[in-house]
Amino acid sequence: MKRILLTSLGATLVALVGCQQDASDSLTSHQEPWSQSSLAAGAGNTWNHQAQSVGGQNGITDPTQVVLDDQAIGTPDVVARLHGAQKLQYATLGAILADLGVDMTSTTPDSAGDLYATGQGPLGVAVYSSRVPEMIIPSTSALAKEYDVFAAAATEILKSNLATSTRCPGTQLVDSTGAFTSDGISCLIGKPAKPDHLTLANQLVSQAPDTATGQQLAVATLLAAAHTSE
Amino acid sequence: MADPRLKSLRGAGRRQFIKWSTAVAAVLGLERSRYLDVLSDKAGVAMADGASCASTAKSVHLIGDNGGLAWFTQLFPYPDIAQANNPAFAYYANTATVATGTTNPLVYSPASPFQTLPANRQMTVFVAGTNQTHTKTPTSGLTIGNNGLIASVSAIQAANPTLLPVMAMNPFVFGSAPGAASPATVADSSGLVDLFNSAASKTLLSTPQNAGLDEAYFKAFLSLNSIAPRPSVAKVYDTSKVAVNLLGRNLATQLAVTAADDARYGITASTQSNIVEIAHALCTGVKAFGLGLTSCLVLPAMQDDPHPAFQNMQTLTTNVQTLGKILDAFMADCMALPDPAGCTGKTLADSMVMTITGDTPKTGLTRSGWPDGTVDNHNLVMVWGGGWLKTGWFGNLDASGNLTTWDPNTGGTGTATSQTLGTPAASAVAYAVAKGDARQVENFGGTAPPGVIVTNNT
Repeated sequence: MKRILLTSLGATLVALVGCQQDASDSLTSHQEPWSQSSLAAGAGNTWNHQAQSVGGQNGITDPTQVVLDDQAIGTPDVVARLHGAQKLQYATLGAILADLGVDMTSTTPDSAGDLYATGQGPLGVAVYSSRVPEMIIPSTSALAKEYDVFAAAATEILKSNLATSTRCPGTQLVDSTGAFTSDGISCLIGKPAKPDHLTLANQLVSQAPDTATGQQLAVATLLAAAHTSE
Repeated sequence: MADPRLKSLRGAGRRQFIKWSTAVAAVLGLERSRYLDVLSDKAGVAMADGASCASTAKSVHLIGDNGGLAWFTQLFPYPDIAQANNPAFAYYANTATVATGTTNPLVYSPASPFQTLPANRQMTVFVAGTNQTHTKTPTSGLTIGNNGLIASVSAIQAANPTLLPVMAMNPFVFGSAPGAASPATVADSSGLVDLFNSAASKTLLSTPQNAGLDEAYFKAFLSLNSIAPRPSVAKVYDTSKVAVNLLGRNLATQLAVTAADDARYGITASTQSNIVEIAHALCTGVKAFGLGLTSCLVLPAMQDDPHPAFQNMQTLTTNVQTLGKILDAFMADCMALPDPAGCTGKTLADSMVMTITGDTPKTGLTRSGWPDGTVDNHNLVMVWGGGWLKTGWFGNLDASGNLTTWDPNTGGTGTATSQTLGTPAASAVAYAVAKGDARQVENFGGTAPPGVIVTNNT
């Protein structure tokens, strides 16, 4: 009896899959309006981690707040995509740094552009001849190389002080006193900076051997922490 | 005082007890040394020694794609072909020495490595897999059930975590398996060193103070991410912390190949670049293994489709001799390094497994043009099993061109085709990596190898 039930369930699932109209690479059914419950981002699935170890009342995040947080991230399919801690794609990494005014075409040894161009292997780029797709989960070498690129990019970003940035033109990362600005850090990390970001960044500068080194370390670590996963 | 019931535990029960007691010690927050003391008291010194050893072996996988495997048939020749002394056969030498003490027949060519090692540290060669001529990513011998062998091996090795679980040079075959690691891929052997040679470690993070600040503030900024407390990112965030630590270190000088290394590995200015790549990869690899940085190294071998190899016997002989020296030097390095897991009295060689596979071994019967086709479309899986496999040839190609296969249940002559013997051969490899834990082999779709093929380590 159990076998008959399982067989019929399997047949039903196969039939349902076969009836899908969308391409196989489609994450969602592209129905409007979005059905929250149909997605990985919907309530009741793994994304909806209400029982947080921190935040919310008694360790439980208010469901309303979860919905608001998700809406701040984007549409449900974007929220779903960002559910997994996916590696920042190679092309995306380049685009982000170019947006911040980093010369990604530079061939100067150990410049961000050079490290980026020569770092395709460690960064987990697809190898078509070996039928190896671009790495999805970040490996140690991918993250180490990514952070290496960020460390090199920090020098260029500070040198231009975001003046060459296309992401947030007119924003200064460091003010005339040498202190980081909240807008500048927001531009760097791609989301509103928290007061702690500003405090820690300036504290790092004060602990470093000199201001320039401290600023570079702060920019490199801010970039790295904000872009560990997508 | 040791409990005789615990002291006499063997096989799976012994392994289970060690795993269970290790877990309990971890839960109780017992220091490792204290745990080993207790184990020594209650279950004997041998059990405590076993617990301090890594439960899995490191592994090196040479993939001789595009005919590259054929070169290794000159180091580990078909026994009958090597002894036939037939100048038409694809065997470079006119002498062959029969190895003594191996379970199955094994002969050395003059350039064969490992000739001074004991019988249980010799090569095992399986007639197994399919001829996949001119494939850049040959899967023959590298598939275990529905899983990739190397992916499965990396999952088995996860029991003893390392900084970069798999380092792989392109092109390579990996496959998939539940729990498999993500390979850190590089373009060539110098890329293996570059994995541990960040630009930042030479500039911004060149001082311990700066490296320390970088690591500390990275962790602080990471914790500010709104997603940070969520369990779904915990694993990646752990990886990121290792990565940022790695960024501040520069191990290039410890891993780089020196002139002395080249001399030991038989590399000269005139050595072919594809042979140099093997030497440098293995040399860097053994240093990385010794430092506990990695568990698995995958590299392409030769890749040169050597149809005309026998047209220039001098070059052929030189190349084969150099390949033999490289493998000997690699194993000597492994034997000179202590086991990175800290296992008393053991060396890295006691925790090492090496496989050599490829798309085709080419025919052993004809040296002229060294054709790609093999009798019954067979292929070979060559393994250095670190004492966990019975040694010698399983299957044979005789001087009349008749292929004999082997029985995966009895180890003797069998009726199975080479194609169907791929998984049993791969299972034996996985068994060796799992250091005799047959359940690990079955977990990944393999077949538990019987005692006639594998052995308990001595």
